[in-house]
Amino acid sequence: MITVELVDDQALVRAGFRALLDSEADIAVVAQAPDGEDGVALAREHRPDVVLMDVRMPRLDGLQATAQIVADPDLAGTRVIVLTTFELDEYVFGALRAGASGFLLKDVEPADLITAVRVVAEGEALLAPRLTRRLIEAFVAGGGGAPPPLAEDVRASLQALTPRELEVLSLVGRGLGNAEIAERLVLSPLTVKTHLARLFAKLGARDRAQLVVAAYEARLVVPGTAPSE
Amino acid sequence: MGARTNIRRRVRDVLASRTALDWLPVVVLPVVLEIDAALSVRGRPITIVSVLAAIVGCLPLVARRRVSFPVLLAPLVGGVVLVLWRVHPENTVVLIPMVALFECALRGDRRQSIWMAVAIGPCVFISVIPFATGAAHVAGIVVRNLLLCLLAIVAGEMVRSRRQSAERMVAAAEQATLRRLSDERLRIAREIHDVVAHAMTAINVQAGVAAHLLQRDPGQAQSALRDIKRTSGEALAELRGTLEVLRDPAQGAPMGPVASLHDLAPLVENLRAAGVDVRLDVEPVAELPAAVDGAGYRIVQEALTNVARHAAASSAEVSIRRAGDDLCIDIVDDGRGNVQAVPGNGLRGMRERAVALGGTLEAAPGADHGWRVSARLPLGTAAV
Repeated sequence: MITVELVDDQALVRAGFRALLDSEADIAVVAQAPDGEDGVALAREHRPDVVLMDVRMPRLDGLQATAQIVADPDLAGTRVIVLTTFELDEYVFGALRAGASGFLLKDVEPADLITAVRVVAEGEALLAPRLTRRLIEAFVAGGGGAPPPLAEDVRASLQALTPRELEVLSLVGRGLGNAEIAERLVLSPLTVKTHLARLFAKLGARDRAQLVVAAYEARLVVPGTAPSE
Repeated sequence: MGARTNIRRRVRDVLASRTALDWLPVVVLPVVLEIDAALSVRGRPITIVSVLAAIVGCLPLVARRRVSFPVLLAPLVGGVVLVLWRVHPENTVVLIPMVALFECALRGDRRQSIWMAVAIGPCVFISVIPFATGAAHVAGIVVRNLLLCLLAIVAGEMVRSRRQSAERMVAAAEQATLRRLSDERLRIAREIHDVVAHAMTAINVQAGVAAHLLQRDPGQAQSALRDIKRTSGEALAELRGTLEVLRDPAQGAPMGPVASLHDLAPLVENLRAAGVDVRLDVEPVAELPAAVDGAGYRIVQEALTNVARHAAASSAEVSIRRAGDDLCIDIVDDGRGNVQAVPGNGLRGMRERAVALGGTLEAAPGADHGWRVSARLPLGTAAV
């Protein structure tokens, strides 16, 4: 059973998502909150597998709430999906960087919403790979100008990576799943998982989404060169 | 009624034109110089030579608004010398450099004025020397004329800085208007965005629910549809409230006739009933853009309302004509021109209408009495 928490200031949106998710046998909505502050408190109480988090909310916005959940060691098993109305803006990018596992547009098809919750709970694949890459490209490239210099901590943690790990990271950055990576590098899926686990640890990443951000920021993937599925 | 006003306007235009102003000193100054010479102690008779010398001496002044002061300097000194040599005026010859200095200070900048103040000393000295009768005499004349020249420069400087600060104030007011307009647009856009985005998101999610669960859970699907109905209804009401702001309160019902400059007669009638005689002088303008037509009508309406309310006027004149690519609207009254431009009197509204079309609007006391509102609305662009 996948447990889900809904955080959104619109009761109707919460009710809609709840009806959709509760209709699935393997998913249960265990908590609902109208703002970030309650969202974080309820997450601590219920420890859901997945939190669907709105961005613009009173009291505490979705970005800060995401950061708090991600930073809480008790909530290491909780994944956050950021919901956005239609703006793929720097806030959503910031949420990914802060540790969100992915983002969804609120007008997502019901079936895709349900799949997204399962994918993120599983932790294997990147949510909405094409959209995610486009968003990250847009904000890492900084609107066509020269890419920003690497942050000191990113540079340091990149130096700790083995050549093989760098290869895996660049493939993750292109949106490839575990099986595809294994095939490309002629490795066993298990070895890929081991490499990924090391990457998560060394880069302090929580999720594939942060690995993609890191791959772009390390310029392992140059904006515009990733294959479009 | 139009013919006489037209002639009056033509005469006024010619008098106000550049050429007339350029030649004015060449006409007036020789007369002054000759009279001064005739009345002077030495009492020279007026001769053709002296008249010609006076005119030629003043001739450099024609170029005073076209060329820079350094270029003007030599002909000016030459003219002064010629006048002193052939006309023998007593004190008035200094008027020639004064006119030039005033005008140059008016058009130039502070640096040029300082430069002129320095340069004029030697020039006065040189032009006086050949005609002086003694050291004391020279010193007296030089000092006095120098002071008068400096006075002209200072006067030009003062008029210029006053004009500039007035221009700056108008520019600042226009800036503030533009900013307010764009702030207002932004606020309304944001409000509409919020209402629409909020409602549409909820409707979209609930519609997804209804479609997804229609077969499996009809009860849930039905309640989702009911939510859609309610949410969309609320959003419509909210939008109506927001868009209400955009409607012109003076226009009444949005279905009413569109205001037009062709329909000024009722306005004029209203004012006549209020005891103000309004003369309309409207030149027909072909293909008046609707935006200009509507804004023009509102400007006239607002200005005439102000005349009735504040001016204590007995008559007013509305003139509308085309000038180049602009529609010029002038509303002049004969009332108290000293009315303060209080913010509440619709001045801002009038200016906003003009600025929104890329035009300008000025409202100020008239030349000798009353109040004048002048609007220029570009006919070419269909802005907004």
